[in-house]
Amino acid sequence: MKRKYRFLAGGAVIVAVVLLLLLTSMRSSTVYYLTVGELRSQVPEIYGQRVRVAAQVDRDSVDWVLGSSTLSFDLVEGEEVLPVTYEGLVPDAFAQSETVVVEGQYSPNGIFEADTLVVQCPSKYEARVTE
Amino acid sequence: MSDLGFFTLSLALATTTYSIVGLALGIRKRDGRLLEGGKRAIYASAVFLTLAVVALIYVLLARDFQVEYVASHTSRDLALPYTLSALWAGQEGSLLFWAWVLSIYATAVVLSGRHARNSLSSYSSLVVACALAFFLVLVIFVNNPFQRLDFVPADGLGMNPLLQNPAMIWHPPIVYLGYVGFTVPFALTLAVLISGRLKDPYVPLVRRWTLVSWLCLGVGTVMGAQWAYVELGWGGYWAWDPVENASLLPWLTSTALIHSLMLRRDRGALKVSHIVLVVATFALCIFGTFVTRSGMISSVHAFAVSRIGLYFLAFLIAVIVGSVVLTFRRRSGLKGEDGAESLISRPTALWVTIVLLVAAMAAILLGTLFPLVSDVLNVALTTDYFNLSSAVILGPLILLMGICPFTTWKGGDSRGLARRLLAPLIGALLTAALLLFLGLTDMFGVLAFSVCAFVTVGTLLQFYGGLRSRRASGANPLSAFVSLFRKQRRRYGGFVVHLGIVMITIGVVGSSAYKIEESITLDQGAAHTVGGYTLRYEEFSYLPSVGKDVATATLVVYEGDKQVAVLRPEKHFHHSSQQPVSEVAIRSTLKEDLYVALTGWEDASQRIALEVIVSPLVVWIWIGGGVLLVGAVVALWPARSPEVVEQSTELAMDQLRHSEGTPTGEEGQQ
Repeated sequence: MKRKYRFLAGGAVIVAVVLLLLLTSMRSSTVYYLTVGELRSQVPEIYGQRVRVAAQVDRDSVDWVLGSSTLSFDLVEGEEVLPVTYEGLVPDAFAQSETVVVEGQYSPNGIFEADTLVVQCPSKYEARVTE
Repeated sequence: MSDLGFFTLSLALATTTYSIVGLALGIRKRDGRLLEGGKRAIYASAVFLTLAVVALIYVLLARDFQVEYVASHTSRDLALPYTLSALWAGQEGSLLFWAWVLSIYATAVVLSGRHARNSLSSYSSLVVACALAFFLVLVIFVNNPFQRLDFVPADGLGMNPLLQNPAMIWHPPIVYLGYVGFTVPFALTLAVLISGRLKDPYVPLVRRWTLVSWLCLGVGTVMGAQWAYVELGWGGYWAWDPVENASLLPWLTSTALIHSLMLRRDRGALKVSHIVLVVATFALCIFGTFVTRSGMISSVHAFAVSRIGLYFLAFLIAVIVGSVVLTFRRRSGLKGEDGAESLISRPTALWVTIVLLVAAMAAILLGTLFPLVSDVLNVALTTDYFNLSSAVILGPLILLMGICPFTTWKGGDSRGLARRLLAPLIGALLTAALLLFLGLTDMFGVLAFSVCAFVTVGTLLQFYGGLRSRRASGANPLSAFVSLFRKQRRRYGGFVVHLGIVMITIGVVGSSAYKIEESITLDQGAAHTVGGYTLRYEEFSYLPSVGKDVATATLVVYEGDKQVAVLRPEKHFHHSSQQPVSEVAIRSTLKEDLYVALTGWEDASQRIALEVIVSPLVVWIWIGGGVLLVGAVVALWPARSPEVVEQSTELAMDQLRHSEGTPTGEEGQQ
């Protein structure tokens, strides 16, 4: 019996620790994860909130200003276009990427100010060999 | 040659199937000849798979672009080492490599079973053969590396430039050695369960296999982190990407397994906790492959999304369900867990270690799987979640690493423990005082470094204690030190591993809490100071090279007035790919790394943009990885000391006792 209790206690510790973590650290480290359309529909409450958006990059809109190290581009999702500015290190794979994930804030001037840019690279492996 | 390769693969599947049938029938009918045939067929599988790997290497080197795999991953201008490493650059090759490594391990399992020590070898060989058959089916029917195109391309697509780094040659195979290696402890565990020999010593059976796989996985993961650091140009080494987590998760459970193997009474018989940890580790290895190959969770590693994920899911379910059913059937015969006699004792400390490691795994697994519900909840997790939860769980674990060696197996001696912990505690307090004196205001850092000092002092005291008792018996210092490692390899090897973990912790804390990062632009001749380093921009060049164009900025680095380095960050533009590749320049010292990436330039003015990062203590992560390797090798080194010989005679005696009435009668063949 004693041994059984010990196991129950051990199990309870695991569950308690994990639950505690879920509650505390998940609350402090979650962001809204929205499509461009959803982002637009939640104006104005969404201003000032941390949001993550994933969408296609419009290749023709990409512009990088050397002096300010600011990257600007448009995210496209169907009819919706979302202008984005990003300050920080641009991943090498951005040049080839189709879909990117940005994280930051949507500002009232209609521009998404991102501080995180994650690139989902179209894998080289997916390319088909053609004649 | 590609036909020959495919033919040998088919032969390997045939011999593996034969060995499964032979072993299963042999076990059922207790027929020694069938068992022997089944085992020999495994050798044949290893030979055929080796030939298949040689065939793939041949077509890669011959640049036979009609083979789709060759055309997809290499090109005429690809350097020789990378052409060879293309063996594991793609999915088809990786699977073949996996199957090949598994066949080598299977051979080792059969060979190690030839000694009378391991009478379970028929059962374990059967389990490994089943796993091998699974991979062979995948390689032959789903992802055939020898698939041919109906035309011959003039050149291949080439290898992703990011993969063209020396780490590509070492990192993937070492990680695979770890992943595949866990098949063996899994097979041995199932063998015990199937055969019902639950009283046999289980711990010595799996310990070495577990350690080898654990070591490969750990070292491979550190190497992968270093690769990310030098190649990806963002100054980081760990991003909590699903693929990174996929190697960390089984590493955590296998670390827990190693600690559970230390809890041994009943001559180290199989316990439920061992089964849980072995199956969890093996399942997490398969799970990692499933997650990254199925596209279920998107990763920056972006392997080709394919239906192969479904096969792995099926395999995963079979592994878990099979293990649960077997354990349930044998539940009455399994020994109870090793409990602790008193609260403050070695067994309790080991149990808490195991619980914390499993909790860390659970937290990271949850975070890894969270994207599955992100779309529904409209909420995503940031990397803060991982950083926070792993710090909260692994922090106390590292503290425990400093306490555990001072506890006694029997326990109950709290006063004595407190007295023995006094010196480490003083070390920790002195470190805290020193850091505060040096002006460190960040409480997290002070706390973390103090804990590291606590563990370091405690671990070194263990060495000191061992040396002193050996010196007392008259040995000179050097031979006392050597005999420490010779007589108690596992104990002192383990302490060396702990020191490696402390070094990695120091590196992680230093580089994450005190990183300085700045984006700057410089005109030619201008200088800028970041974190005590002054960088003067001398010149810029843009030159064509083999297969690529290379942009280089030359910077002279001063620390104060003293010139300490010339750094040349580059950006490469490979002709075969539109993606530029940053080649960062790093000045590495034990104190900190100065990390410079060239992020852009203007052709006319030759103005450049740089990302400059000062990352304290980061080099200790790589050093810690090396120390971990050394410690594990010490623990693994085959022993000839009296202690171990004694143990193996004890084992042989056990074996003798059990061999009466053995179901297969295999020992008779020896």
